[in-house]
Amino acid sequence: MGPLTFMTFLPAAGAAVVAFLPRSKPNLVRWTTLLFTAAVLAIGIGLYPQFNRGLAGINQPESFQFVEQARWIPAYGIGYYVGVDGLSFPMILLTALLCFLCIPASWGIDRAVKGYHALFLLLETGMIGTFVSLDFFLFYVFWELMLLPMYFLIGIWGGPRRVYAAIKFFLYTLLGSVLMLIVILVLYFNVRDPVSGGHTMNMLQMMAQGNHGGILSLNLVRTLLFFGLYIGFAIKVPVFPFHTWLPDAHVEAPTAVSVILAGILLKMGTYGLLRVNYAMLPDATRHFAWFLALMGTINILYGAFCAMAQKDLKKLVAYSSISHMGYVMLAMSAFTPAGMNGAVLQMFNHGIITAMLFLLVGVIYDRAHHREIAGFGGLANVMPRYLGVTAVAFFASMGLPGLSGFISEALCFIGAFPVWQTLTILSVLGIIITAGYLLWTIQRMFFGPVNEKYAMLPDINARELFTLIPLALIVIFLGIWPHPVLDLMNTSMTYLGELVRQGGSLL
Amino acid sequence: MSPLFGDVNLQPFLPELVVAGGLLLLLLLNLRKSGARGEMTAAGGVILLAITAVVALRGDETVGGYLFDSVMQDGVTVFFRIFFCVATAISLGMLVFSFRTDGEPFLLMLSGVVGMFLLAGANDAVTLFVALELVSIPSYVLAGYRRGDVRSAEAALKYVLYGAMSSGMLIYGLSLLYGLSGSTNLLEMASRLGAAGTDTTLLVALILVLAGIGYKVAMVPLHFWCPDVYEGSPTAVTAFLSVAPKAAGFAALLRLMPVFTPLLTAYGVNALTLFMIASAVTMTFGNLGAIWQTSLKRLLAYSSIAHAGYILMGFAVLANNPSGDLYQETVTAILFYLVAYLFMNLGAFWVVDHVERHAGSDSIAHFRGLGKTSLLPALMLSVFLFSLTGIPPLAGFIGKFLLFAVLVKGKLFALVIIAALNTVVSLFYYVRVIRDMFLSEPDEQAASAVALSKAKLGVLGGALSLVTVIPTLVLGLWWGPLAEWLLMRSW
Repeated sequence: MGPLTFMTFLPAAGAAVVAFLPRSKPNLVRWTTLLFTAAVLAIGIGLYPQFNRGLAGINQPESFQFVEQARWIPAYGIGYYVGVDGLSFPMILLTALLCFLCIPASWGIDRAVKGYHALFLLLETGMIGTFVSLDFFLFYVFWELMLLPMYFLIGIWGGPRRVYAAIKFFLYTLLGSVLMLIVILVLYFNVRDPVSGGHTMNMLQMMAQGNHGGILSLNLVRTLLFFGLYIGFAIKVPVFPFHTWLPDAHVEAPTAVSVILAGILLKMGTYGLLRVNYAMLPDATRHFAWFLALMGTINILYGAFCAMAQKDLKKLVAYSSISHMGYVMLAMSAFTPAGMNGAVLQMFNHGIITAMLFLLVGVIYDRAHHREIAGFGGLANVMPRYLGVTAVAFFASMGLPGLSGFISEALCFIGAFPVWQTLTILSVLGIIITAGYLLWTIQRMFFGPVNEKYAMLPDINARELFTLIPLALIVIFLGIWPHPVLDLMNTSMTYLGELVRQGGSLL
Repeated sequence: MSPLFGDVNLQPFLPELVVAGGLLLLLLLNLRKSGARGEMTAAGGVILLAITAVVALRGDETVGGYLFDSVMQDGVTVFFRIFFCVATAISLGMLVFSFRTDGEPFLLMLSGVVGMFLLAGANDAVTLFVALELVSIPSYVLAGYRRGDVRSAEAALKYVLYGAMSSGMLIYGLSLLYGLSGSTNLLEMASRLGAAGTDTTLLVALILVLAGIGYKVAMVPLHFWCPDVYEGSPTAVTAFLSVAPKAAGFAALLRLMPVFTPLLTAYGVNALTLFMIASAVTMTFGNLGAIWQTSLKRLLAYSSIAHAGYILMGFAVLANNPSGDLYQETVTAILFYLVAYLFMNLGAFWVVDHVERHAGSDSIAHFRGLGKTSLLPALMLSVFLFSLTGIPPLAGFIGKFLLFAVLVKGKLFALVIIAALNTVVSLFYYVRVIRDMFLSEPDEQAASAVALSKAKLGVLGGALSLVTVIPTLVLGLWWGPLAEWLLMRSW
């Protein structure tokens, strides 16, 4: 067993351990969970220096790293096959980091503590498993495995409308998944493994265009498959008009679950598009690149305008996520090296920044027990340290130079502009709107007359700082020197962009 | 193979003979007056079924046609015999909770097994009909076994009336086929009729036979009996009815497919279209019907209609006359689905039975807060319901995966998309139950909640939980061996 298997299944083992701990010792449960997530993060950090930045991966089996392969169901061409490349490695680091930081952020959960932490660990297994899977069946199992814990985490520990939000999330994502399942099966039956001659679930064999046969030679089929996958992934991103589950889920979810939802689950959507649509159907991807760019632009503007109209701070952050995932969509539809790198860097940075934002919302909600922006005022004097951290997160989110959000957004636009001039120009407006709603929010919450009700609120405490400071440091560090993350993905993403550009077109 | 009676070889009927012999033995033992006749009979029955299953496994040695080809033995027959043994054994265990002092229900259930065994191999119109009645008659009695209970009596009456109607249609259809072809052997019938040319009577006969079988598997629009019978019968009986006789119906249908398809096609009725419509309508109706139910037994009844619809998808592929590989894979998918369905459905009914016995009714309201009052049954029911939805990594997902796979391979894309959408609809009502169990607070004062929080599973309950939960989990993760075993048997 190699490091990736450990990273994937250590949390699941942790969930089993947690399930057998005594109910009467919630702190033991919390510390155990923290230990397991720390172990996963430690493995991830241990792999960081070993990761070869010169190998592309994507569709080359020999240049994937930390690969593990085992027989599973050979009669159906299904195997246990995991490995990482420059696309998935930053994502598993992000996952391990956020999961670790989410445990202290969940310290305040006091209802059914065991269940919460067991489900959280199970969720981590699902997420890491999805990122490392190179077998489509395995990928699908992990993909679905994320749904169950998420449903319960929102549904049991969520806010007043949690039941509605949880089922909406579940139904939307399952709809996407079953469509994806059908596409997987069509690919499965029309791709031949050149070695065994049989059908295969091996994703890399599905990427080799020479293996495509049967109805995969029809343009109509490729188009339908592209959109089948697109809907499956777009629901996760979420791309307009499939986004309506997101604000509901976010508003009702407990803080840590929101962090995971926005920080990692949304990335699954764009990750899936890059890993599956781009690499398996490069011709269809190139043919419909305009569509991806257009949807990205719509997301940026629509999300930003919606965010501006929100009265609830958490909903505002949720809509800002929709807007920021639009940058990813726009950038990756250009296929330029800057665009491709910008897209994945933006996925990583947005994961960090949005995690901060949701944690910050959690901080104020824990104190005031509401999230109405208009209900606050003059908090700058009451909670000065809180303002400091919030400022870092907000400024990073609006892309202020010197913070990580700037680098990735700049790369996104630089990468997208040569290909999609008009759309990029329109999208840049998104930055202005973003600055508008974020600055306006800061003004309404922190400045002006102090709301007497909240004059005595305690400032941010050490436990909360423990979760926020590492993220803030990463935001500042990557804003000045993005190479530690950028170098991980550069080879792979440049290669993937080239692959799609060379991949021909449907017509 | 030593002929026992002249040139009649009885060796292939050894499993039937073992069950029948054991049944007589148990019947004699039941004459003793004893307080725990139920438990004794159940234990005896389970041992008998275990022996039978071992004997049945040896059926691979006796492949071929027997008794003038009226019974066919092949890999599928072997599979079904073992399937019926397992399903019946689990049902017998569940039955103990309802009938501790009565031996008869157990014997009735066991006697149905003989019929199901024969049905799985029937290749002759008369054998088919007799076998089907042998399954049905004990089922009628079982449905109404709770004598004081009005709903049970109603269930039995409805079951008998509808069953009589369907049997009538079936025998009428079969007699017409006999009249037209001059043979009762199904394969012989098919080949003679194929050459005979077209005739409206034949079409009527085929539709009647199909309808007769359709009743048994609760195919829409022949499903009316299903929710009422399932709701009124004792829950352990419902569990049995929803799995074993239904699978027997599918076994018979599997045997009839080679007869139906070419004949229907000869009459310009596209067998593929017919089965596609039947499948799509059945699953959609079942799922939509389930949404509005307040009784969990009724909900599961509608869900079992929906699952019959999913299984019928496999028959739609078969109706397309697939060759070699695809035929084998399709039969494998159907059989695998039945296995997954066996464990998850029996398991779900087992939890319902447990709650019903302690809370006094199977109303979904009584499941509210079950996660608080009794965690283990609530967790188990969640596993079964998620498996019924088809969420990985559970057995139900693999069943669906294999069925979807053969549909995609057979290029029936419209049907697979309908099935996928149905899956999403089904999530809605399955999760509603899970929501009530975990996301709602229990009514602490209610007598049912108090009773449930005190309820113990016991040894038998624990055993039943294990034999249903473990396969549901294992077949979701490590399903290769079973799939390969089935692939080997379905030629």
